[in-house]
Amino acid sequence: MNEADFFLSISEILTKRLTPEKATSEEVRNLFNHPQRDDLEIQRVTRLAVFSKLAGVKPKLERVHLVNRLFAYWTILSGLRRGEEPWASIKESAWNGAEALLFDLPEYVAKAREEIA
Amino acid sequence: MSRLSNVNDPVREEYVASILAKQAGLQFHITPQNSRFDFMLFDDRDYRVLGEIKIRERFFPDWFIADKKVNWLLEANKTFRCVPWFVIHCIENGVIYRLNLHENYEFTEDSMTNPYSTGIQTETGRKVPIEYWTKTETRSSFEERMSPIDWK
Repeated sequence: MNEADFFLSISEILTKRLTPEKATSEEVRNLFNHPQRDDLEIQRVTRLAVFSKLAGVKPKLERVHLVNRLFAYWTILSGLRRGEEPWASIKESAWNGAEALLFDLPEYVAKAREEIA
Repeated sequence: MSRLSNVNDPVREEYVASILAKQAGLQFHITPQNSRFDFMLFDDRDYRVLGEIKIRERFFPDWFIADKKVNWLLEANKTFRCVPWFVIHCIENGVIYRLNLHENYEFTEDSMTNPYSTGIQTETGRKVPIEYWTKTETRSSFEERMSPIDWK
């Protein structure tokens, strides 16, 4: 997956300004139309990931499809990278959320944290 | 311009959150001091409410809510799709006043000085008349002496 391209365009994807036809990478195009992609589920797992540690609860994300976890992860990272609210003022919770979402790919989060910090 | 009279009382904030959670049939969590918001309500599946709690000693016919708090809650909830609540607990009458910031309400713009600030700091915000707030009467037990059943 071309993560750099996807990362740059995630907010456009989420706000529907970027359509599958305009996507330059085939992998990104495929993610648009992935049968498991579910925007409501993406929002739900974003909430779960970001707030669970704050509430002292372990989020149940193991059964959430990777596509939805990736969208949620990129939503958080996009906000952190741009210094946007609400992410800018809840940075630690946002990073905890990113780690929880990519529990099976911790090296991605560690690398991103290093780059953005 | 008036002065804000917020009471910094984490225990009372927790009490208020517990009442709201019980009413809503949800669990609650109070965030650490100096967090961007004060509490959240949630169930096993999802987070439902993010909110701010203010403790006021005296009753007023309208409650002041600072723009910076309102704006952040509204901005955050665009992303999180939770319900943004602003909550006032009035010590004088023991009532909890709750405003859903997504609902329509009238207000007058105003500003307050912050007595807790080291310099002169003004907070801009809005005064929302009492009729727009949902009221919850609380028992006075928070103020009462310990009873035998409170022993454990």
